[in-house]
Amino acid sequence: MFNNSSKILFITMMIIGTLITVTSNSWLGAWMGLEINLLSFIPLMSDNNNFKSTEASLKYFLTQALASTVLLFSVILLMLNNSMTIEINNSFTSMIILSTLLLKSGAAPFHFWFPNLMEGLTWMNALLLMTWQKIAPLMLISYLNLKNLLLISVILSVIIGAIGGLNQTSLRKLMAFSSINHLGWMLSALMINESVWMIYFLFYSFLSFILTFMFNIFKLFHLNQLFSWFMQSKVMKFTLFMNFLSLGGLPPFLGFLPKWIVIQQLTFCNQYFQLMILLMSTLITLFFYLRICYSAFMLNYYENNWVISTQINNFSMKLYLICTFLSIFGLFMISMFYSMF
Amino acid sequence: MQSLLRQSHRLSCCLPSAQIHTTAVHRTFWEREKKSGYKTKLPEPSKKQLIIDGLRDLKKEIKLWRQEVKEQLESDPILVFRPGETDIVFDFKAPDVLDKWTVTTDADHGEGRSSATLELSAAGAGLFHGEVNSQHTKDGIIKRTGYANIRTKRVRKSFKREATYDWTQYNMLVMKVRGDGRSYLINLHTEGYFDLMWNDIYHYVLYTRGGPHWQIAKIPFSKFFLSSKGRVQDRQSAIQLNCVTHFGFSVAAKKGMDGPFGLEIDYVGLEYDPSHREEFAYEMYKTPKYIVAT
Repeated sequence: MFNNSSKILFITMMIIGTLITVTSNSWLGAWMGLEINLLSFIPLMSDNNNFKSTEASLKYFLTQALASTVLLFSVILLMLNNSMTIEINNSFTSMIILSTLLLKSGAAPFHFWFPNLMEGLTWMNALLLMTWQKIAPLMLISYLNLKNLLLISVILSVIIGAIGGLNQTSLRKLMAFSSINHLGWMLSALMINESVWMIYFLFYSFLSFILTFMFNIFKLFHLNQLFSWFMQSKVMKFTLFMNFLSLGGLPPFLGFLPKWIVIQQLTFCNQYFQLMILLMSTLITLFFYLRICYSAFMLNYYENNWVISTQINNFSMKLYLICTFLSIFGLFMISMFYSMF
Repeated sequence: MQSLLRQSHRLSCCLPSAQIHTTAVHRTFWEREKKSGYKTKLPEPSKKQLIIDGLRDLKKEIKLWRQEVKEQLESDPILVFRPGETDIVFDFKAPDVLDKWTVTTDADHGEGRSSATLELSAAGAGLFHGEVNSQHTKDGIIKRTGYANIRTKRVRKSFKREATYDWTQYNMLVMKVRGDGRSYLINLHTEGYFDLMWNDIYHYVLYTRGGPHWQIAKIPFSKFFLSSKGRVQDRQSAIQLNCVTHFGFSVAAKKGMDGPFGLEIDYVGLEYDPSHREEFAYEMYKTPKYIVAT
């Protein structure tokens, strides 16, 4: 529906919105950036000829607008009580701000809109929703000083992300629950240190990008399609499932590194209860990824005898292979570089 | 057809000055209720009766909910397409299957004189038969009439929560029917969340042969086209198979085809055909801006 100039405009405004939020020095500027981001992401979402994407963009608008409204209200409350920039131990206002920001990022217990919405989006829009749209709210959460509600949200997010993804066959919903789980990890990383959550976010975005890129090229939306689509190149199938496991956080893949850092930092802070819940839920997510992978590797499936033509070209293949290489051997490389320098 | 042209209560078309409207014209898409004016006014039971009914159903609903939680935790979905296997969704051999279907005609809201029933036939199949009649009182509001439909009730999860059918693993609709030579319309309702999508129905025609032999009609989902309240939409897209809410058949007295009709349905099932690679049968051409709603 869009020609490329509209898309460029909306993507630029989306980036600008997030940058405004991140670089602002007052809550009002931050709210403004969030609104710009929201307004420019909605037309990107409803780009498809598909009706589910229209419904998805409507639902996204409603939830995010609600969050923005309450955020603005609490910012004004903050201004009335204190100043615009520092919030001094006023846990009531902080709690409201934190709730709205959790709603914006899709963390439990405010996650109900997220999987349903992802179902209606194209893969590239879903990637944006999972990665870029999380930057601004998470950055704002890191300015708050409220451990209790954040801890509740972390525990609920990881548990719901793990259990919700258990019986899913739709790939988009699976990635949505995985995103909720990783969001729980990111929030716990946030409580430790800003660099830790940024590292986690970067690695998560990279791995999500690889998977989403492949799903987009092969137009995979359902788990059944994953098994019967790769007859011409078994290597591609193998590497795709390796990436799945990497996203699940299985060592020795790259996806284990951010989790390793968070686990280490949490043990230094003696947060053992939180750590135990995070680890248990990660094992559950890893379970359903592993189930998909061992089914694909070891069981026999119906496969087409004729070649299904795909849109993969030379550049896409090179990009995918480089990223897969980094995802599979990244941990070794990083350890090597760390020990060398 | 499922709805008919009520001249005054529909959205007016794009020629504003070409018609003189004698009654109010709605220029909005807003719907007051899900049935869009066709809600049968049933007497609501008293609050006490509602509480008693609720408590009686509570045990059943808890049992259903426990089953759902168990299924979620066991999590053993079918991970593979099964080509050539037909999975039956609507079968007329189960004991109380007729409770799951609703029969409606144009006579329900005083718009015509058709009659229809759904009952079990001698062959053990569901027989949808009756008579369509396009005669109606010429009151200036109704332009054409004469239709009859059957539709399944909305699928629900535990505690009466509305759910949808998930048919994403299939790409064909398979029906074993025995008709009388008429063309019936197959309706796949994909009722959405917002009022704009409450009346989204995907249609396709079921051409029946008539005669004593059963026919198995295999229709791919890519052939279904979208319409809303009987009007085929300009902007078409393929059906979303995880949003199907109801399934139904319609018959109409179109172009003077009044008279008796009969459709015997043995089963309605789903199949995955790997050789059918079509995503959507109707092409959306790139039109100049503001011609077709895009």
